[in-house]
Amino acid sequence: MDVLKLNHVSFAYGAQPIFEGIDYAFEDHKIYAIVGRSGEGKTTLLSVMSGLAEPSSGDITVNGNPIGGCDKYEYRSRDVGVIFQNFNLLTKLTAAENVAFSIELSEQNDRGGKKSSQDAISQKAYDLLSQMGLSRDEADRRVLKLSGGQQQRVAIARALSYGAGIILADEPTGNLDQATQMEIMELFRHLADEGKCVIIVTHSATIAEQADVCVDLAALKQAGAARGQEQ
Amino acid sequence: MFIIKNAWRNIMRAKGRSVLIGMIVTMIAFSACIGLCIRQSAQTARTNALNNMTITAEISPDREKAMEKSADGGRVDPSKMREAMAPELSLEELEKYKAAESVKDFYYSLSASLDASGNTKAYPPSNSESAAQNAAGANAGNTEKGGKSGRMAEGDFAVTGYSSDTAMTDFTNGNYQITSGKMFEQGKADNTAVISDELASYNHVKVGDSITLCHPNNTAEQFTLKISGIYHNENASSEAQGGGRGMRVDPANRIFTSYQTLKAMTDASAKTSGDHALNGRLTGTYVVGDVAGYENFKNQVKTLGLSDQYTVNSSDLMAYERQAAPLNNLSTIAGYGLIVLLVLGAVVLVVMNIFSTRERKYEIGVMSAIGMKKHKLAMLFVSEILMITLIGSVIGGGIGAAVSVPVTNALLSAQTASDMGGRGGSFGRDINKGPDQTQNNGGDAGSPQTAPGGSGGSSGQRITQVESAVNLTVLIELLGISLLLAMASGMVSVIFITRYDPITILSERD
Repeated sequence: MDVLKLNHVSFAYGAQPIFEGIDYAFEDHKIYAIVGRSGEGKTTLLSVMSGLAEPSSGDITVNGNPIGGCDKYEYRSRDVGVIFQNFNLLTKLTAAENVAFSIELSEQNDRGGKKSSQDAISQKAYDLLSQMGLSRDEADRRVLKLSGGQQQRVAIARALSYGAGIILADEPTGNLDQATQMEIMELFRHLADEGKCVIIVTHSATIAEQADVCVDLAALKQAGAARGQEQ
Repeated sequence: MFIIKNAWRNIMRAKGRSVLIGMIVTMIAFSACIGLCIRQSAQTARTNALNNMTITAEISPDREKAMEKSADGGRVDPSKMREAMAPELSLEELEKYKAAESVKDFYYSLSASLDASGNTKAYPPSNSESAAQNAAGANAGNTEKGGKSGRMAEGDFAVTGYSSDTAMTDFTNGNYQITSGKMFEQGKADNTAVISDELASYNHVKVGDSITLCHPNNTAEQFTLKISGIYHNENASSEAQGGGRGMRVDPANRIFTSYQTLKAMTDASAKTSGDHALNGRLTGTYVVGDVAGYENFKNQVKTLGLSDQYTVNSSDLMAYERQAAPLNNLSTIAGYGLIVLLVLGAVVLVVMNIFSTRERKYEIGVMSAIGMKKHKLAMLFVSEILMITLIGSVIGGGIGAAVSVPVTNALLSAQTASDMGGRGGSFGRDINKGPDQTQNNGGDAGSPQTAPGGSGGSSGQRITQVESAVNLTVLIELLGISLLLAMASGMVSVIFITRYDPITILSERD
């Protein structure tokens, strides 16, 4: 089932177009790898899909609802879980606090939703981190004291903390060694098997090979441009 | 709750920054509390004093207006000045204004200056030379002897005749007390008077004896007064030191009698000396109650026909203003200090918050990227500074409140000492007795020229002590200041957060 759909999405930095008229539909239970050369606009596309950047034209729908009409902050803390290339964790917080803060924030943004107790939130954070392979001791450490792989797991746990159906990951294995890369990919596979739509931006052929669908951004851009010319 | 909880967590996580800002706020709150306490003390003292004071008013020729009229190129011509000065009001004229609505009571007094004669000698024994020099200087420079000019001749004694006991405020307020004999009888011209214990002792006289006085310019014109009582002046020495309100005689040389007795003496002098007769100064005192009554009285006498050549003033209010001068000066200084402190404090906090917010730019970007709305982020940052400010204010304000009274009193003593510095005694007595005694300094009350209706000897005492300084008003003002400072510095965060774009911050970081 299509969970995330790009409809003629274009983006430009000022007068400089990055991509034009992209159409694509992402389905659940699958891992997508968006590949392309450096500077092609992979991260920008991910930012547009996460609501951090506004498309210059076109729209994006999630489960059939255009995200242009909803609150982007609520969207980012409910529908999509974003894993940034540099993790972007709150450095003064522990791993557990990072995850717990994200859960709490999502509940806050869900105005009519149920609010969990602090203990329940903490427990959920520890459970998530445990699923990601972090011990209780590691979960209580400030994130800067964790290794790159552990920080990546914290970032994934944070993205999963509020049950988003779509996981957007920007170069999630870029800073990791081969073994850790494989572990992370196994995690993503597990998430996809659970029904999530995992979209990974990568320039690694090894990672792309493990995805269910490999999306060449250059091809997408070309198709979009061709459609634009036809019109 | 989410905001408050996370704000508190952030404060605890960044202890160094929080403690630094907290210390600055504490210092600001401490200083602000002291400043506010001083201002509040001044205000409370004023309110209490004026509420407890029965205000009286007097009508006198407007000297300033006369000076303006007689000024010639910036210099005042004395002869023109005399011509321009309105004559003193007569008793009939003074009584006309007691009909004013604000007047609750009216009394009057007559004062005159006389010399010692016969066996009677003026006090003090050791300073008679300097006193004589003072008197001589004053006479030579300022006073034309005799009554022709309409000005009072200066003698050794200040004799005051009162219309009623109420007029004798020095006695009614307890500063002067009859220690032997009794008060003269009011309403009778029986030539009885009360004299000071110092004068009685110096002249070896007692109740029932007589003293002899004479016209300062005509020793042949003598007056004998029988001593009905002897009084003790609690503030005699301090009055002598201060010598304010134009008093030229030692307080020990003040003689009190009935209005009728002194009027009989001046009338007799008029018959004997004609134009050079003993000139008595009549003062009418209107009891108007409070400040509002006093202000109303000023308008009401105009309606009753008082010429603009006369002015209404209140020796009580003037005396109070003198008493409160150090506290008022301190209050003014504290007010300016407070403004400077708040401006500097706000600038320091704003600058610190600018650096702090810029330093936390990445944190703002991350929180915004994971879905924290900008207004919540702004509230989080404002809550942090608000909490630190409130804690700092409670600590600073608490310490300030605890030490406000001693600090205020110490500053007040220093201010009083500064205010009194350089003032010499009119009678050559030692005034260098340290700050403890300065509160009794002033000595401007109850001089023969202005005492009638005045608030008595204690009116010259400076306020050098406050009992309490912190009240609800101070606490509310302090809270207001804290909120103002928090808002001023918090606004910086709000502006930055509003302008920050998470994707830009995160891409810059990348």
